[in-house]
Amino acid sequence: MVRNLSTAKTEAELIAGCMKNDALAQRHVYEWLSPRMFAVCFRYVGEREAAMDVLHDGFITLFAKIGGYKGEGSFEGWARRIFITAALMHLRKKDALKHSEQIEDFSGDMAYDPHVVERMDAQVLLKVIAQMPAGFRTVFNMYAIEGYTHQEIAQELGITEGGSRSQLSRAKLWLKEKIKEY
Amino acid sequence: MSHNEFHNLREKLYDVQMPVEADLWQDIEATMRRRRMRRMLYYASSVAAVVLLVLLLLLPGGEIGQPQGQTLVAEAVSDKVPSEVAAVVVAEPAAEVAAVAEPSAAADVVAEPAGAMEVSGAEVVPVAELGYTAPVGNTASEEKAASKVNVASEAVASEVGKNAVAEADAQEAVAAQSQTVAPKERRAAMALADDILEFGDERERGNRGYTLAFSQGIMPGSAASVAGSRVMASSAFGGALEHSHMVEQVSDTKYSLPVNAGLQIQFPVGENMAVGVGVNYSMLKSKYDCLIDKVHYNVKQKLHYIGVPVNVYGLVVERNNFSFYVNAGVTLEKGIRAVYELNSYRDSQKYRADIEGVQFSINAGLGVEYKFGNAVGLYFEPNLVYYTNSEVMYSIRTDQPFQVKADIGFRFHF
Repeated sequence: MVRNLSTAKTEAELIAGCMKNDALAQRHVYEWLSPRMFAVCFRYVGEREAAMDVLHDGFITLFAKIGGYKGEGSFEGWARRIFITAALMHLRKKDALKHSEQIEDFSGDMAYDPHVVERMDAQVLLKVIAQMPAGFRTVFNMYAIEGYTHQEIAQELGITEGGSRSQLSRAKLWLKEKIKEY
Repeated sequence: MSHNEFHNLREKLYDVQMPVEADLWQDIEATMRRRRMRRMLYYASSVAAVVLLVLLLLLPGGEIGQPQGQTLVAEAVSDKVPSEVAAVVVAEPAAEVAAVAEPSAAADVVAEPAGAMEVSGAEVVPVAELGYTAPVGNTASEEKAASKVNVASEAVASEVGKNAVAEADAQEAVAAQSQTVAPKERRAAMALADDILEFGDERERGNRGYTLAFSQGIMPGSAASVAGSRVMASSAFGGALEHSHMVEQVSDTKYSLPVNAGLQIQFPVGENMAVGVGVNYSMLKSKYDCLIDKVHYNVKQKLHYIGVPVNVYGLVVERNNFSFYVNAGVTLEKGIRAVYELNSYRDSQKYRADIEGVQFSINAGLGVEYKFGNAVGLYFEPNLVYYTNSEVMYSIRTDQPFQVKADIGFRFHF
């Protein structure tokens, strides 16, 4: 007797499979998320090798905690927070965030030209941001790309909201100087 | 400061992708496997610790080490107590050792410590050849042996398990023989007489009858990853593919622990033997990667078998609520269904096929049963299994014809 059943895998099926520790579902989730999450990790830690380590740890955490995803909001958004947390843990271990609190409030006209950013290739922009000093980069990533508020950043990094704003200002200034080269 | 000024930046970078190194998934999988193993070890250790604790609580003090203790006492006694008393003492634990090791060695083991005894090795051999050790004084050979020793040991051996008067007689007899012996040795001899009588009582308590067993087992020694790729015929997957395809296995085969469950009835054959006949179900799981017409698929294979096992059981020793036994047998299995799941990145296909031919296996092993009262027992039965003609369907039995299986289940005694 031969029977052929073809089914398309939905996101929900993959998540359900991962919750049952189905190795194939986990593999599919990995294939689906890893290129984007690798870019996220790279943006935060700034080095390819370190980003691989963070990606590895992030997936281990994701599969261990996937039962905690209740279907509220997008799965990718939920997963992204796990990778960001993994990246922040990595930076903390490396003491890369310890300078965050030492920076005082900083103000001034530091706006960069958005049109320059528009013209830049995403991969190039990614590499530019990866070169940013870790303290600036973390706040910049969280605020400018992920859309965290200064209050959330302050809570996450254990700094003041003013410190978060200062870091962002410095990041913008740094970016302005850097993109002049392009 | 507005979020809008970063709008372009966010649009560019939020969904940007970077290629990941190919071997990262293997690292992740290996890490998860290690973590699972650690968890399993943790749970297994916890269960083992609880089981050990329960056993220690259930057993009266000193029972676990009793056989060794008796041997030591026997050696101590044999120096000063008349040899006849020592001979009776030594016979029981020595025969136990012999039954587990090698039957032919039994005579030597027994004869040696009882160097001064009158019992010949030849008379003790049949005890070991039976493949089990009965309590002292319960077999014909032991009674024959006992008849050749002096009055004191005759009193002990012949009256075992018969009536309470024997206990007093035995103790008196042993005491009489031990009058010239130091008090310490005399106490030891008295204790041994008590033990011998106790074994007789236990034997009376034991019930041999029809038993019904439910079991579930795994094969702990068989989960493995077998290296190598192979070109499979277009009739791969049990001929489930409807058209001719080029199929090539491109990864190692990873086998999961085979699982089986069964039901068995045991019929008593003689005093200490039984024959068990039953029916069992087995499932073998494996997975590997293959190229089907150059498209990469992850394949999961499940094979379902129904089998008829026939086993012979021989009681080795029975103490308190524990009984230890040996078993050997054969099983004939018929594959009832093969199921294949072929998965690529975004879709999956499932095939089912019949399994031709039958699977034959032989097995031998040991078992231990703990009885909760007289009706129900919990048993654990590790066995060595050898599978023949498993080439009818490629499975772990093809790669590893020798396997260890461990059945655990409940046995109901009627």
